[in-house]
Amino acid sequence: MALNLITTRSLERLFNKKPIPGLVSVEGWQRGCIDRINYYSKMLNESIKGNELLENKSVEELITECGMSPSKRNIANYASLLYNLEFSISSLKDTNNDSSTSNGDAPLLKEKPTKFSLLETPDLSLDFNNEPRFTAHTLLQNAIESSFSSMVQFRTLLLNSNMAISGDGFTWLVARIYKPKIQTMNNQMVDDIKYDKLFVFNTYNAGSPFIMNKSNLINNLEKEYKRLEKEKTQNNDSNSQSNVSKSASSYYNEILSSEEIKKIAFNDTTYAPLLAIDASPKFWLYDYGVFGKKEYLNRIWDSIDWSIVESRLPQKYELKYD
Amino acid sequence: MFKKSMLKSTIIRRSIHTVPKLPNINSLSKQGIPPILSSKGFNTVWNQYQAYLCDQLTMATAGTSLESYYPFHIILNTAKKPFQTNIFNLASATHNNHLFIENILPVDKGSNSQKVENRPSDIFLSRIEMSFGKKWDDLKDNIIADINTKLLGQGWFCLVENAQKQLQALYLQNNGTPYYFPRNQLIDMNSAINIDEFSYLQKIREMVSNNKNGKIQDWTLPIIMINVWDFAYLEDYGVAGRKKYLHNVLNNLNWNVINKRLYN
Repeated sequence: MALNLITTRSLERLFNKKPIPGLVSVEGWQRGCIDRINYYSKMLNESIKGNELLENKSVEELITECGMSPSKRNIANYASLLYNLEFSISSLKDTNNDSSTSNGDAPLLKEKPTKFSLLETPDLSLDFNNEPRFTAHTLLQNAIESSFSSMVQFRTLLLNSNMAISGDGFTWLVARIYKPKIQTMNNQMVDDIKYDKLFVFNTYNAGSPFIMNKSNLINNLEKEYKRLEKEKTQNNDSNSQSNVSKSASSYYNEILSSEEIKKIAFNDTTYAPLLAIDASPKFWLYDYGVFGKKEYLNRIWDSIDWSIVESRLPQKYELKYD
Repeated sequence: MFKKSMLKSTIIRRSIHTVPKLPNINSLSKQGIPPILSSKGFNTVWNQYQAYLCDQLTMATAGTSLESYYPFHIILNTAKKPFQTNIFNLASATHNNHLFIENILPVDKGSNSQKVENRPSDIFLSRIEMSFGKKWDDLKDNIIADINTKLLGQGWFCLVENAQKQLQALYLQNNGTPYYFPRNQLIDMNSAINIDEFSYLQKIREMVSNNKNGKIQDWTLPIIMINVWDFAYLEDYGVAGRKKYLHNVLNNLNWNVINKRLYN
């Protein structure tokens, strides 16, 4: 369902995308973005080589179709990395309001942050340079404020979530698309894509916002594991009752045994990505240095193009009592 | 007098983590570690990244019961506490990075009359053959290939010696530690996992939850440590150059350091 919202962009368009002045330098863009796109697509092409069925599929299809299969892990991983990176840079804009000065290699940091930046007192001012309402994107502004209480809370949550990723990963702003059962009664309503709330979450390494139903996979693995253990104990000792792994797996049993919960939580719900932020040093190390992640995130915030984010926002779902 | 000084030294034990002093640090900063790291690359992975880790670790532990611990003890102490993962990550990275830089330090060539040899000891080579069933030179290619498939993001490669004195290759995701197997972090949980990996995780889970005394014994010790984080190779090799970097590291290890780490 979420796939309908994503326009599949061709990679050529991406290669033509200029570095973002005020965020990364030309060299930083080459190393943090172009080189990575080249590398990921090379690895992806290698892993689907010879498989005609997969070769004709879009990156999004590869993620959703291979994402749950351990044997196709490589394919899903590189497709996902490619998608995530592309998505994260697609909503960035030039931070210099004066576009006449941007000549490609825009003024960046004069100096990279040093170890003393770790000791700086946090800036407590609540005035941000970049908010959706400044560019008259009130729909988005209202959506964010109703889901996260305020813009301040949203910005804090978004940037701190990214700060907390210690390795590679992405922080996402997503809209939860929820299809109530009633709608399926009426054929006209089925195609309506509506969201009820916005969320922020992290994915790590090649994790994807399209693969949210991991618990199904874990559940199946658990069943398979129990079967194998049972066979083993029966072979070893036919008298022994199978009480294998009861304590360890009770957590999963409690949550996942109920089919009802699964249906509500997963079957009718998808998450449409609106915005992604790359946490990997591959993107920021060249321009910001070892101590520069915080500064990078501040500048990312200033570079968010809210008009693109808003254009991805589905219709709001509202309960009507008439 | 004696008693007084003893007391004093216990009370004011240092609680600040600082970058360990390496021999010839000035020439290392100027020349790097050829052919593995340029001077810029060395500055990033050691002078800056290690300083970053030490400062962050100091700030994360100051004023807590962990403040007088060494990174090694912080690792063991926080490995079992999911709510202290941030501290565990910093301590583990600090410790791992020190092991890494030590085993790639350039070997002092010695004077003409007394040449210092830099090669794996016979014990190491025979132990490798016993544990892996292949020669060290062949194993190196396997390691590089495995790092590429197993470590998609950041991580560490660690060749360890277990309690049975066998050598094992560990591919630690992010800031996993070789010292405590439930926190090896060998599996990338963000991709689909197969039944073998799940069984492995489940076995560990059972071990941890069935262990009433809370003490899991793990006597694994690291022999070779390789930094596979971006801070180590990105500057010099670029995103696509990780294989080249690993190749250079594995072929230019400091065997004087590594041979001593092995149980004789």
